[in-house]
Amino acid sequence: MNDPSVILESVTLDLPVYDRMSFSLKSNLIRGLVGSGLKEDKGVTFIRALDGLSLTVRRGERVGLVGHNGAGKTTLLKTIAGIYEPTLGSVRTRGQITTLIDIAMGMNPEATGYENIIIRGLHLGHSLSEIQDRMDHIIAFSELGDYIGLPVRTYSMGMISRLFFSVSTAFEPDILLLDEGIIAGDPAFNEKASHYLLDYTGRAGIVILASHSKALMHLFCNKGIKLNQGKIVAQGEIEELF
Amino acid sequence: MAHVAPLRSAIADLIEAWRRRHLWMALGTFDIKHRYKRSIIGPFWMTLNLAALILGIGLIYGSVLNAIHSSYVPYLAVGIVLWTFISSTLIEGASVFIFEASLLKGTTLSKIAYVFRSVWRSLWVLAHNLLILLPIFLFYRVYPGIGGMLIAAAGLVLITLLLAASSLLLAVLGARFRDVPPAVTALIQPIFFATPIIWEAEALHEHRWIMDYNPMYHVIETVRAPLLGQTVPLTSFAVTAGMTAIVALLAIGVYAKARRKLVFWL
Repeated sequence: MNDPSVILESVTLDLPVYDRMSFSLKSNLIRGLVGSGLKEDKGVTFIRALDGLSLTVRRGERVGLVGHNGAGKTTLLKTIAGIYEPTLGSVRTRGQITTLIDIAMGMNPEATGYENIIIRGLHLGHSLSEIQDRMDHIIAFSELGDYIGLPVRTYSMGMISRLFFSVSTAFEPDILLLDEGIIAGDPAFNEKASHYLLDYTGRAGIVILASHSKALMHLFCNKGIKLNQGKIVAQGEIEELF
Repeated sequence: MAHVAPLRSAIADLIEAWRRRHLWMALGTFDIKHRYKRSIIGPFWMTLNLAALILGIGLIYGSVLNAIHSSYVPYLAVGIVLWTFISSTLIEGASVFIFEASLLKGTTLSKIAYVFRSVWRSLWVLAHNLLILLPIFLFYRVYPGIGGMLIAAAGLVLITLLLAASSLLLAVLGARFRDVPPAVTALIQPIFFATPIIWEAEALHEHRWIMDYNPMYHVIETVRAPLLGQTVPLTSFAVTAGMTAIVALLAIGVYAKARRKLVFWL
């Protein structure tokens, strides 16, 4: 098997922010009719979310992304995942990626935990039979017990986190991209999750976690990267970054 | 990635969406099941709703228009069932990407799969609504025969393709221009009145030819005429097939152009 890797070369990403005007058909029609040298991107503001960022992550590395809100942590995860295509530079990844950024993604609160495992599994690109094969493992790992047959709206945030963390890791992706909110749940489960991730990166995987929490970083990561305004400002030991 | 031609990526997305049909089929079926969770007769509420509408129009409108001949109610029923399918698919299609924003921003699956999910949902509703036709056809003794049913089925496949292509086109436009979804909803109503569904094309007498220029008339005729045991409307099939081809090309072209930027619009 090829080793999984993530290689970013001077990646710049401009996120367009559309104001209400540019979203209406009228303004575009008028612009089209009048013409008069008005630019296509009028009314669109660009935010430089990532700024010439280069990064290499290899097998067994558990990288923690630190930085203020808006430093570009989540954007970087989405760029690595291929959800955002960079404006400049290149993103090359090897291995199957699973992203766990928005916990509520595709979640149906009326459906049971069991049904939500299937829904999320499908969204992650797995077939029904693959999901069924891992069902027992997912339910056991989530520690939800009989709650698995109840609608997810009856769950606490911690239970929802456990459920979706269990689904995302059950298919053993080569590269796991996590946002902090996912594992903020309860300390006992975090311990178990961290053991899992340790074991998992030991086998082959890459984990990249965006977080504010020093405690979580220590638990999950063996390398840290500090972002500020879309640039890497420091990297190395977790301890040195706080 | 950046070097691949946009059109090729768009076609790759289309192929991926088809390859992953178990995804949108399962999710679409799920949507229907959950819409009626804890209801006793469940999705058959849709059937009952439509039956009440057909009965109401059939009795009241039929007697006002003095059109209460035995073939009016079956005609009306087929028209309403098809129209409900067409209008709800187009209205939902225009907001697919807005509605699925969190998924589009959270996965790298083909975005076309979510358009198919919406169409699949509509097909489920159609399947429930088609049941109304059975008692009506029995009561009014309408027998399309095997041949008629096969032609109607072919027409239905064609309409579904047209709706899938239209949904993709409207979904992209709707994500970029937020006026599109309400505009579609607003336009649907006048199209309904301009199309022979509750009234018959024959009512136009010498102006009947006007309907030859109403594409929606042809779309509905591809299924309605064979089901009512009338002659196969070749012109209607040709018009519908032509529209499907044009809309499909347009949709894939617009999608190809928007594909990379789509996620930023949501």
